[in-house]
Amino acid sequence: MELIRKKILLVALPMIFLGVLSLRGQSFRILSMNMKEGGQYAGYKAAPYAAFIKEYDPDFVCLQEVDMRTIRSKKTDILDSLALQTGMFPFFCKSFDYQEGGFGVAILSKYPFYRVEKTVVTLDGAREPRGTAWVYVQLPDGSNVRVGSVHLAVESNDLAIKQWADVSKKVLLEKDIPTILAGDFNCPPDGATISYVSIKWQEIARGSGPTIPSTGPTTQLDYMMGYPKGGWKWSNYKIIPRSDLSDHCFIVADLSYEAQQ
Amino acid sequence: MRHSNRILPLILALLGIAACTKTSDKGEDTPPKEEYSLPEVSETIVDGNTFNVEFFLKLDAPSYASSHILYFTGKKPLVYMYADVGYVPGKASALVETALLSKTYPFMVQYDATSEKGNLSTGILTRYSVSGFDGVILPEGLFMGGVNFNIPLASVVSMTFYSARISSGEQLKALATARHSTLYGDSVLVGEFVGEDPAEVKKFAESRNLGMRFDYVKAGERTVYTLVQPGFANRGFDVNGDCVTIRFEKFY
Repeated sequence: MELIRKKILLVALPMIFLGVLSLRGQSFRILSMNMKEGGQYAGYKAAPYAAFIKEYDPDFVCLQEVDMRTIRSKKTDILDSLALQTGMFPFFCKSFDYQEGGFGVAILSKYPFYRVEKTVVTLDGAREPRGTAWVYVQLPDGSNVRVGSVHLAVESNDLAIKQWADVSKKVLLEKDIPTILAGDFNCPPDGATISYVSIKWQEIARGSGPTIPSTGPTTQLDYMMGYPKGGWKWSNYKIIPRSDLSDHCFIVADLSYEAQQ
Repeated sequence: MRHSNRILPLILALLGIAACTKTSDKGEDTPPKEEYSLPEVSETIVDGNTFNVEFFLKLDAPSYASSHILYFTGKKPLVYMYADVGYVPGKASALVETALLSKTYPFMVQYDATSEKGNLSTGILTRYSVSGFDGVILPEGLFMGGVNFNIPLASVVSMTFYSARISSGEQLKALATARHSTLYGDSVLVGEFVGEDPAEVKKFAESRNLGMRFDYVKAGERTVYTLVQPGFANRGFDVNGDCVTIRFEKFY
């Protein structure tokens, strides 16, 4: 009887384990960084940011306030430099022309992306156009994920919500790919923008704490949002102050997606 | 008399039905089906409607590859493609280094599924800030990707420059189905053909199966192909070692 019981366990346990594994998507690590005016705090040099990124070994880095060959960055391509130094693939979304170059958001991906898109929104009353970068990546386990880097309007909740509606409609129209959108939302946790975003999106690590200023954070402006809502799991969520690199803290988390039944 | 009043209309009706019926079941009166063929391409080339793509059979050292991009004289290619570009996640990429040195934007079209150990791909570089990079992964694991940006021809055209490594006409058909509106719009598809017989694929593509122009050239032991809709034409390959320059024309 004991032998039979052991044989059953020998067969059943691996099956249960594999069954659990097959329900879970692959875990990946996302880091979100507002670089503050193109890397101003580090003298527009890529190396200090690359060293930080390598320390956390993310699969994706969502960047905001990225310069592309501007005068103040001495016409350098800081994004490609970062990509080279970290062994990742870069994608830049220009929000607007700036100092003979461009300013916007970007994504670094450890794996090649098979598709990228930009959403650039120009709203009445906004100081400047706002871009959102999207990459679509096939992960090593064969699943696909969509990752976005966003920097919402700072002028008002009204503008930020309008921008969000425009940005997220593409995701709502293409629901079959799990999506993470990370970045600077320019809104505190109890603000109208976050309330609106949370209707359809899942806030990762809600209530985790303030992210600005990096010298002594008092307010949260940086978030990660997941879609579809409810399917995302996270671990190792961290808020990392680096006042030598930005006025924002950086946020990092390990994420995985499980389709809801 | 009463009988003829019923019979006559009946006869007339029967005659009317007979007149509408096909005269022959063998279809002797129906016109024969014409052989399908693509529209002829004019011999006259309108230079202002042409553009070049360079396809390399390998990516040279970044310093050399970037010098070619920066210091090339003549009609500059809009897009540079490189076969067999390797990558390993987390390791510096030669394609990204070339992009950095040449002030271009890098993209990759994988040959196979993503792997932690790395993979080979077709690398794409362009000096133009792209509107997007449109890609598709077919169920059988075939990747196609293409950069999209505006190019100045007779009018400004939003063009997509695709690449895919293919081995059969069926793969082309699957890609054309997946991206019907763009491949039959303003786009070109350039890549390496790794199958048996490109001539058969040409016949397949230029028939009713696809209705697209398929051209190919041997570069050493390898074959480079192009696929365009009838509104475009491949105006010729120029093979120079590992570099194949392709001149396209858009018809207006």
